[in-house]
Amino acid sequence: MFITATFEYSEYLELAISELEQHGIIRERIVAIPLDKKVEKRKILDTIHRADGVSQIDGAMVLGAVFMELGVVYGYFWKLGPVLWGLIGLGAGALAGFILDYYVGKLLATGKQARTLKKERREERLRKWC
Amino acid sequence: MEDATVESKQPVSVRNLRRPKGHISSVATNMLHLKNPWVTAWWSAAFPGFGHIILGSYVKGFLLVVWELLINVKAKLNLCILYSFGGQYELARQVVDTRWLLLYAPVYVFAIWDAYRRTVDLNKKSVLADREDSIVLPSKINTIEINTLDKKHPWLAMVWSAIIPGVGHLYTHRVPTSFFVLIWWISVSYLSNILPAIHLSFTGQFAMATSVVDMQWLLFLPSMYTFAIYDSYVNCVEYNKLAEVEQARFLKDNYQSPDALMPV
Repeated sequence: MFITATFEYSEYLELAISELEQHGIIRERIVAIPLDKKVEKRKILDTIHRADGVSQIDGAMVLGAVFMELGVVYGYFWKLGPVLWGLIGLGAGALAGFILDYYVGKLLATGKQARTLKKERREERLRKWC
Repeated sequence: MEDATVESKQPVSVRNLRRPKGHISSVATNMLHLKNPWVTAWWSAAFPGFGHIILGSYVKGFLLVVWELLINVKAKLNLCILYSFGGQYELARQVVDTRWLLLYAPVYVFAIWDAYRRTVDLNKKSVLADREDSIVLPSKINTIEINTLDKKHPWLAMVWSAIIPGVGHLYTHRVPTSFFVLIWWISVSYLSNILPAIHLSFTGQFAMATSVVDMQWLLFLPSMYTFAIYDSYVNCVEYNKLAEVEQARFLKDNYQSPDALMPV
């Protein structure tokens, strides 16, 4: 009998395998095969289970810092003051950077999808038979 | 031909040591991963030393940050920038202290250039380490700390950093960055009077808020704040990737016995 299951990479996977071994299934009868996906849909933020390697935060934080700095500088001379203009600058800069990154990244991704998506989501496939 | 045989005699342990992917100590995981050199150069331009801290080059990074704080404050450079941008050029000329000013430019340019150069250099080593499939041991426990390579939520790292810079790095277990960011953030917040200004700004007393802040110190804060968010997020993502690679390797090494029966 073969039993197969797929897992995300996590410590639960190792717990599951070691549990099988605790039940007397020998290591030689357990096969773990990493699954590599070649192309994956881009996500805005990387999460605990997947990272596509295309950072969407570089541009947002770079422009966020620039505009926050400018907001603080000019806010000093303007009515709302440096704190609020700094925060407005951060929001506006981060949004502009994100939009720029997103659309430029999208253009690159459609052009050379395979190359741009370097790190694909991988899953573990666990096979057990007894 | 003879070179090839010598190379093949080099044990995997030595090959791994030549091209390490990372090092896990109890207080931080320092690792090589691909970065855009323009991005590290940019962070060095925003605040000299930040590019090096992103790379995990802590000693150089902290040296440059302390240098930036000292020389900028002594030369009153932030005020000079403020008045120059505000069009008050005469004031800008008066405020700057020429006993310190000329020390600034060379180290500033060096920090940017060195962050760029080092990133390009480390990217090459990162690719080589990946190709060597270098082993990283995923845990380090010693008397005072515990560091294990496990997966965390990048958005949580960002949110913690946005609430209070330094804490996002505690979440990702990059303790040296956390330690220094917390110290800078608390000191510079205090010296810039930003906290009273926040109270005043959010209760509509804008003129009071503007008069209470110390702009020489306040202008350090935007880059510190955005850096903490950016760096904790990137570290979290890269640690997650490293954890996956390490686990995949462990499984391949231990659970792919050639004797195993495979379903047809």
